[in-house]
Amino acid sequence: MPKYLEMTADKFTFRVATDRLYSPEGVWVLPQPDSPRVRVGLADYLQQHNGDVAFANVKPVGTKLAAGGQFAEIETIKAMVDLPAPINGTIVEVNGALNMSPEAINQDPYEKGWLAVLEPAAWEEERSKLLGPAAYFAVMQKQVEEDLKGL
Amino acid sequence: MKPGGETVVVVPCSGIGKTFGSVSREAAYDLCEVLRPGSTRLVALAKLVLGEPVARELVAKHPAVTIDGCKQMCAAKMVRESGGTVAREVAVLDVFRRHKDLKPEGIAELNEAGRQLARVLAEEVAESLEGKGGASRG
Amino acid sequence: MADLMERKVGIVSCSGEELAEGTVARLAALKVLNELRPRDTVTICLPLFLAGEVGERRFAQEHPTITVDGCSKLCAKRGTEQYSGRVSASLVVSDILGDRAKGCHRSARDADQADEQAVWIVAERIATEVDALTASGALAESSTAPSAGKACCACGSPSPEGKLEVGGKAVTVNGLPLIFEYLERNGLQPGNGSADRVLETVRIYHAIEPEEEAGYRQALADAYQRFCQRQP
Repeated sequence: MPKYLEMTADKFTFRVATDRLYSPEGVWVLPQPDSPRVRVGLADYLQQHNGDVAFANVKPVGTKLAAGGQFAEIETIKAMVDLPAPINGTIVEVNGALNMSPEAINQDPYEKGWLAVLEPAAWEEERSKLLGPAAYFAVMQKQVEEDLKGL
Repeated sequence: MKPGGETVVVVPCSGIGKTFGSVSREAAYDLCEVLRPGSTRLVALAKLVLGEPVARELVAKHPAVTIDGCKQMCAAKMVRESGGTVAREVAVLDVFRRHKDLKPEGIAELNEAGRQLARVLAEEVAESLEGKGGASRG
Repeated sequence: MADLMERKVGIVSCSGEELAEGTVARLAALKVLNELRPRDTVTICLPLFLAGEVGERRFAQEHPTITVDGCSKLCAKRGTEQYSGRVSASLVVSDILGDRAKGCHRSARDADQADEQAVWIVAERIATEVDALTASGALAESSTAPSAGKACCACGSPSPEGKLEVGGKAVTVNGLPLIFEYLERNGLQPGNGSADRVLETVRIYHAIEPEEEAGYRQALADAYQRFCQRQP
């Protein structure tokens, strides 16, 4: 179980797992133990912001990804959300459980709600472009502040 | 679900934070007021949880259909915790997944698609009250 | 933990499906949230709250709450008191509307002008209560100020509590050290004349019965004095 940084705005608490890296868009990247691969999913703020997931469609195994290009799409009651790939790489595994239970993305975004496993094109180079948990927390905080200002 | 004749208690979540909560509420009204007024009783979840005797007795005596707006499944969870038997638990999200074209919007005021989704949900439950199956989820 | 002084008022509606008044309560709460006081209010989802959702309960513990019940069974009020402490105001739709509730409907499918008027009447009442709670200035002056907290470990620690002795009884006031910090930061000196201000500020977050007022005033004045004299 990872530890978390957290912040509360009104009745909502947003958590950032401290054992992984993040793209600025809110996709987490968790290196797999004893493996060059990484697991990816949605950060807590992103899943709360988008709402209850009705459908999650991840591109198939074997798809080559460019960082920033779409690697998955989630459909919530609020919107269709294209998720940008956090790194250059290839999809090697997809979380099949999301077909029947996409709500795992909402209920357990850092564990059971994972989306895919990627093989990075060049991990050391890719990881340098990602944010550490504290840096992502600052990004998230700004996003929350913007949401509140929009009220 | 047992064949017709037995009263079924209907417990929606009516969650105020999401459009699906409004769908759960309207579906319960469609079911209890329009489709099966003679064989259903609507029970307010909060009354049940807080121990109101009539609500408790109804849930103790009759099987329940719960309608939840989100996957937290508050109505199903709390009916069980109150000693009730959930014969069918319905998640509005699952019904929406089968009827993607009926995308609900609005909480205070449901859009037309939301009202239709509520009616579709109510009709599915009403059909199952005609003895088509046992305890089920949908 | 939320910054104490960037606070909103929580509205807990009963949403009782069995009565039209429950529907009016729900819709009135939403009208206040979406139209009348969007920057000052948050609605608390009663089913989630009763089911034990941490965020809903914590918000109700740390913020002033107004409950809106359809009828005298007072499910929202009783539920909030049971799990989060005393409410700041309790409204009952059947009391507010009286006979006008007879023309209202449970389902939105049947809603007409009578329902709309009823919702407005109750919503205005709720908004008045919200205004009363914000009148002392303890809630955010800047409504654009986010209530986002600082990063902290997810230890789940509750608000700091203050313990007082009032009328010979031990009383816990959630968030009391934070209230004192706010008052101190805003220049309130302990001693003569401060007791009323301390009491009125605490009253926003912690219900005080009229007969308890004198006891609370003294206990809070003493506690505030001790707080201001603490070593850094």
